[in-house]
Amino acid sequence: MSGRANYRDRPAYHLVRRFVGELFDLGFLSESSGPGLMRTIGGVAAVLLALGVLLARGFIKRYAIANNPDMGGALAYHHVALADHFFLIGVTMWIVAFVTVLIASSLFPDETDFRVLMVLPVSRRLIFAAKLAALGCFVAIFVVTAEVALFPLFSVTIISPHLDHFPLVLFGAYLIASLAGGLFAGVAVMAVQALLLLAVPRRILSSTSAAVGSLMLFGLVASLPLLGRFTARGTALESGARWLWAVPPAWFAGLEQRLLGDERFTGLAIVALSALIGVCLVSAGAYLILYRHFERVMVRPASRGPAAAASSRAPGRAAPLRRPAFTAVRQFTSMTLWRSPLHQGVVAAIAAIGVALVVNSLIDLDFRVAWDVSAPVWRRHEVIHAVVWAPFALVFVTAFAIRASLLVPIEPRANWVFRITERPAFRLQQIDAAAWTMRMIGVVLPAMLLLPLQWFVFGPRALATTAVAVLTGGLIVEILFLDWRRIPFTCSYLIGKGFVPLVVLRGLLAFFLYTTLGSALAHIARAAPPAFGLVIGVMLIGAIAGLRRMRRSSQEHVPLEFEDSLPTELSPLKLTPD
Amino acid sequence: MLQATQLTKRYGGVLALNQVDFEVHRGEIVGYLGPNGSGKSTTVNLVVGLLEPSAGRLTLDGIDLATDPVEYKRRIGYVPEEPFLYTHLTAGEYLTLVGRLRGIAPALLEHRIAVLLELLQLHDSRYKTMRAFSKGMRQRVLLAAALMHNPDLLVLDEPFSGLDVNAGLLFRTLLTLLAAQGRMVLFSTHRFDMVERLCSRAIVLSSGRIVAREQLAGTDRRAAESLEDVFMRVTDQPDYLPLATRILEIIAAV
Repeated sequence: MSGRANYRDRPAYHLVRRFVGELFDLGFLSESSGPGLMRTIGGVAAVLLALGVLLARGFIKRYAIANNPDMGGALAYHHVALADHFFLIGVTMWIVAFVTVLIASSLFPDETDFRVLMVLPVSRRLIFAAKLAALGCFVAIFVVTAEVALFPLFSVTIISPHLDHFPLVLFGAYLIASLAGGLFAGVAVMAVQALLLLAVPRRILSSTSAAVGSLMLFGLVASLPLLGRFTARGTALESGARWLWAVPPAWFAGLEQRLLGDERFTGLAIVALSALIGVCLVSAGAYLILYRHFERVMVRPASRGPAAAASSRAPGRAAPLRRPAFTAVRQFTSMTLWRSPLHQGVVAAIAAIGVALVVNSLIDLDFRVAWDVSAPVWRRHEVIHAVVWAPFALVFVTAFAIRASLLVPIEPRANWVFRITERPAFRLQQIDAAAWTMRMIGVVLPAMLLLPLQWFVFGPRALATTAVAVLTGGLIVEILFLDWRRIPFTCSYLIGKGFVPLVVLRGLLAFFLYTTLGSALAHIARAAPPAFGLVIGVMLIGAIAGLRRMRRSSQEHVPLEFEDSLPTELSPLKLTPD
Repeated sequence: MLQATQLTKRYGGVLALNQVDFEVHRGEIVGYLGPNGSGKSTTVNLVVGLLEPSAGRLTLDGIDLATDPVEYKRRIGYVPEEPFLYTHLTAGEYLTLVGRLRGIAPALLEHRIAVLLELLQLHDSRYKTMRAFSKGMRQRVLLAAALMHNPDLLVLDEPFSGLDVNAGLLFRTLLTLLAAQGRMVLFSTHRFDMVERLCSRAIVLSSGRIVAREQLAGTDRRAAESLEDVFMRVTDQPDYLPLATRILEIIAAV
């Protein structure tokens, strides 16, 4: 008892606890208190465990077929088990990488630690050791949770009459490989941050670090469909396909097989170990350098050179701006999206779902089939459908991502400057600026990103399909802005206002409706004579103009919102006949 | 003239401000004094239009806040107690945002921002986001934002908290000059020395009610030398009058 009390009296205990708490505080609607921390951990663990149990049901059916002697016997089983272990190791690595990217900005002691802790009677060694221990705890929590969550799935893969090894040996090899994979994923993210911290000038470190973090988050979410396909890549692993060398989970799947004695996987195992040692060395080196030069963490955020500032300054104009509030809010929105890691993260994480959907629909297609008249009609149609559908899926999800990001406040108490300058004449300009941002980043940008692919498949006719995607996207923007009453980032936000399943259902229905109708219109615009395409364009522009007019006439007379509120309508339970 | 009539504010069942009457005439600096929780900040928030009164009326030169809030707010400059700013912006970007929302022409705005940053000693930090700014620097940005559109009424909530000595002296000189030019200044504070030194009138608030109104003799009336006077003398501080005059010239230039 006294030992426990003594342990809790030590500064190291408090520092580690504080650092772990900070890692779970993502800076957005989180509670920094102890119960909040435990709730966060518990919630994440519960979600992962539930997913593990759900996936296990699918695996049981899969192995019932694989273990059937009529379906190929031992060979079929080994093929399936190899692919599934590749998948399980990939999932562990993905989870660890994802949570580490979320806390990327807190991986090393920062300026606050420097200013606050260095004046206290604690040594620099203790600060660094505590930070490292906190990171270790954080990564360990997610590695262990992932391992526990995936254990039911792993168990299913080793219930077979065709096992070559004792189940404990199989489990041991899998555990070592997946732990090494998880460790690699976490430390690799850390190494990227370390290299940024050491190599990027401090002037641009803050914005570069935010951009790289958002990019990693985007890449991870976008890679999810590829991860799902690992379960069908047993042949590639057995034949030693070249692309496996570029896929880190394959290295660790190779390590597992090598530990079980299969020499075909020696190369992949060596890469796995070298990569793990490499990222550990980079991170340890960075920690050492920072330990000796702690002043390196004294970041001055987003300080820019005169040239950069001059280029962003408005040109001198004698006449007043035609729409000053529009310009002000548009620039405020752009600068916030460019500089705020939180808002970038929201956009990146949601938009990556759209990218994942598109990648998933296009990944196995041979685009040359589209103009190969000798190819079967169904294959040509498959390619054409997927390519026409892609911009609609991406536009819908990206527009939603931008809208979600515009709703998240930044420094809510600073919004007084908008409240004090609010006037009816400016209201429409301010809302138009938000709609403009959504139209440009959420609609035009994703449609343009897919234009080269469309051009490759359809030639100049791609202009018609892209134009339909942009115009229907414009329609979506106007619909989403019909009840919009906010200047981006300036209104407080209450999470979970709506009934979540209903919101999700409405979102999915809107997605299917939009992508189906949109791609149908694009098909017509692509295949029909140009005059017909023009008619579609004019109709869409007319619809946008009508909606815009309706939106503006309703917004003009209603004050802007700066405080979010719960819905006021009551839903009667109707427990009695009247 | 700013006139508050029977100004009342309730938060739910709590009466924060109870039938308060006061006015600020042109050329006056009025100090609004009171202990914590007396209703000072509520009054300030009502005067600048951030809160709506539960009852009562506010007019500025005859313009009613309830009926013409745009024209009313156009004439007000406000410096809040805490420097709540969008710290991911630079000082110049923030002032541009405020200037555009105030409808100042681009060329004029650019010129005013450049000069104000120079005069308020923020020029060297003009390319840094305000995250790296001290409280005093942020207060100076807020002062520039409040003055940029040349307001008739300047409302300040605890303007001297967190300011370094130089910025404090500049603030003081500016307020005196603004009043001399016929503008109105209302500042809420708990510092009696500042009220005594600067204000022509003081209003004392307690538990949401005005409990005293004091006509003061005028600015810089104290016979005995204050610590601030000694500081200015022994540290050979520059005369802030030319600097403050220049700031007011810049914001008044069309």
